[in-house]
Amino acid sequence: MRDGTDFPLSEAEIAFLRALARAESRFLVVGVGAAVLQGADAVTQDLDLWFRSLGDPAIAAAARVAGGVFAARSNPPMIAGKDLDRIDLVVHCDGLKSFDAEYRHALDLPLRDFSVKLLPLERVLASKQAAGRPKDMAVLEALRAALAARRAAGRR
Amino acid sequence: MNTELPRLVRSRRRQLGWTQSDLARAMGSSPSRVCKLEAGDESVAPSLMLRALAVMDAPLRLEIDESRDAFAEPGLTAEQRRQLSARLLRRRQADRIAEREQVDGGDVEHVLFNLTLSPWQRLARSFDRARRNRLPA
Repeated sequence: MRDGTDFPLSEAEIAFLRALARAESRFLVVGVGAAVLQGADAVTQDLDLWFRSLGDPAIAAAARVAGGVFAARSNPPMIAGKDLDRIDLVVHCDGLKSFDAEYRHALDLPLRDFSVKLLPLERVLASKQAAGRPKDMAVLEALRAALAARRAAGRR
Repeated sequence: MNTELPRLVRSRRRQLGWTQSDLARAMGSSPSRVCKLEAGDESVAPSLMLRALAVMDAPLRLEIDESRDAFAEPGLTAEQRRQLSARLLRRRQADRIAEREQVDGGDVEHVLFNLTLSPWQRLARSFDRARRNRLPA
């Protein structure tokens, strides 16, 4: 990448997301990763995905395409496989409306030859405020600053 | 806060033998405003100080003090100057946004930088920071 860092996702993770997109599986990128993608100055180690339904057969199929497996019965459900370490599946998001309601207002984020849906920053903030864990509270200031800066820069 | 302009105003006024009330009358301002101006109060705009000097017919020659100018540092390359300029602009923008929105200016400055990157570059940098945070010192 132009600033000298490697692309954040492995080829396996990209393949997983591409397979989901091609299957029209409904999911949203949420959490601190979603905030970072929109410019928030925060640290994260993974990309959280909130699916409309974890019973969607496209998830297991996409995991296989990426050379991994969807462990639906593990607690929590997870994707496992070589170079698939940074994708986490989210079962529930505090403080948000229904998946469909949030999906309607999601942002499109291009990724190579497809795109994924992103939870808008205001909704990430709402979710973190509602969750209220110490690590969520710690990131609130960064999220508020990102919202203020994006508004000033005329970004949605 | 630059104290040069208030000092110049006070010095010129005394040179003319004017009171603060005289200067206020000449400027169409108030004695209390002139008092604040000469005390270097931050609520007084530099433009008012320049108007005071103009009203007192003080011939000015404005120069940038290169001995204290970061942009005049010897050996600074064009690229470094460009980066310094961009950083200064972001800092000033961040200060204005932070004051208006009651958020942290440092955070805002980082966001303004992040907005110059693509979304995936932003995520890559965040992952990198997380990895470095985990490394033993």
